[in-house]
Amino acid sequence: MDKLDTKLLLKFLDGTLNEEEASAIYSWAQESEENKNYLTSMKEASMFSRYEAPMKKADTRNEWHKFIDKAGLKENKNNLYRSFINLAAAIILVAGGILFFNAKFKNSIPSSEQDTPLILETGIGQTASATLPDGSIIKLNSCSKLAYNPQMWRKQRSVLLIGEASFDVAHDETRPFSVQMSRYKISVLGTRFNIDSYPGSEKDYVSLKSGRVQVNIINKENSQLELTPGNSFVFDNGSGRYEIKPTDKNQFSWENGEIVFDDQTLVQKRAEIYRLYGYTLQISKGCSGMSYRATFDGESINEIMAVLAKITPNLAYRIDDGNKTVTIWKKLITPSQVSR
Amino acid sequence: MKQDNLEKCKSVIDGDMDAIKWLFMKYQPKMFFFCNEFFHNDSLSKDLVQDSFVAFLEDHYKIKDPKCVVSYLFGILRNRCLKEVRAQAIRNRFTNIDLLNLQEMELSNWPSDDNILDRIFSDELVSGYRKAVEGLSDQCRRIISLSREEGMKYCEIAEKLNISQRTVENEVYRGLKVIKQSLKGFIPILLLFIIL
Repeated sequence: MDKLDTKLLLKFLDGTLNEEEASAIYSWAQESEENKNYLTSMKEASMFSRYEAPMKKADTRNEWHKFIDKAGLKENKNNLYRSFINLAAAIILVAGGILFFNAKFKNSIPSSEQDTPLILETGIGQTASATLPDGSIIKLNSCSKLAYNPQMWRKQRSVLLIGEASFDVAHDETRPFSVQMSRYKISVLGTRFNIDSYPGSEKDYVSLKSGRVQVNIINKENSQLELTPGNSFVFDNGSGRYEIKPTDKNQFSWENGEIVFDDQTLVQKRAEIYRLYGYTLQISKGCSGMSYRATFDGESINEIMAVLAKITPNLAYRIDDGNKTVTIWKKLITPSQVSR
Repeated sequence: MKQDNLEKCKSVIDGDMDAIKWLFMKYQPKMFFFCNEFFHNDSLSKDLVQDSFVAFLEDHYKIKDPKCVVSYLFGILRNRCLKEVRAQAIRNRFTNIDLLNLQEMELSNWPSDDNILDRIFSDELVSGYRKAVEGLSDQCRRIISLSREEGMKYCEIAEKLNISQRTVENEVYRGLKVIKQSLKGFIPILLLFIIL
């Protein structure tokens, strides 16, 4: 083996090679396996000789907190069952099929492990996905909660949902999968569907992507409905009436992190924007009737408002980061009048 | 791998939060260090390690053998590094194609089966390293510690010790060779891989 120039070797180890030197080293390494091997082992020796400083620079503790934020993990004492999201153990009171999530119980220690349901919860602007013990995959939209009891799971696959989630249920004929809602129940064997049931919203939507699902209205006999792909079960939370309709094409857009205005007004999107950004929209009467067609994909609230203001000549807004509000009103004079 | 580490890796596969934290705390510094040897860029290295852990977490439950947890993690990291090397080459419009070749060669020379993360800074290796450094001449040891541990440039060391830069470089080279020899006993698998 030709001897490699010391200076060149050191530059290689320190990562300060210029173009010419990189070529020289590379062609030298290509000459034989022995040369390659030599470079690798020298690199390893070099790594060893300077390990203390970078260990401190790695900033591990800070990086850990960044990481759990990024991955949506929550540090707690409970096991995550094959999921990487914040499953916080809590006690749920189940009374007459109606579910109460009580924040106060959240941090108390459950009296027995046996009855501890696992809760998956997302906050403002977060989405999460989890794999249940049977392999079913659930994607949770922002401000939503999903709960199931791991002890009961072996016998029946049953989950509770508040908010919106999409389900990709693993097929298992012996154990139907069910989602308990307050006023209806959804049962499936294995399929993909989406439930949109935010508290306070006018209507719930259960939309089927593939397979088959059954919907049973609670406290109503002979109320079994079967849903076919491409259709949605729409439940009116006010009147309790329900119907089956073709699925809105934007029902699943949240899974890609999109907000879609499809001839919709800011008033109609107010709740969704709050869930994604935590900002409350205060919309003056003059602006409530204006509808938009637009798709936002990961833009910030500032960007969204800037775009809307740009395409609406007389729309003015002010973002108050302290109180987390966006005030929207109609300008009395349009920009063209000002320039005159 | 030690038995209790194996137990922890098993819990990592099961998604135990404490085990994941253990894995992160133990390997993040090493991974950071490994990346930084290639990119010499702290924030980039941190990001690559973060991304690797996120990718790892998405698939952790698919790992069948707890023995593979760390090599899997290292495999992800190495691939991220390769991706980054290529992305940089594209950004530089391939002006320095041989540097890319060199970095790719280096990265693919670390076999993920016998992964460096477990080897690097293991107790035996560190004590082997310390011994090797003690065996160096006074001047050589001094220069190694200024250059490596304190991160001084060769010209700065030359000025400080009032010797030529060439001498500094030669001493660093000599020191590294001795260190390399001392580590050799611990890396037979790596060498075997390269020779085969």
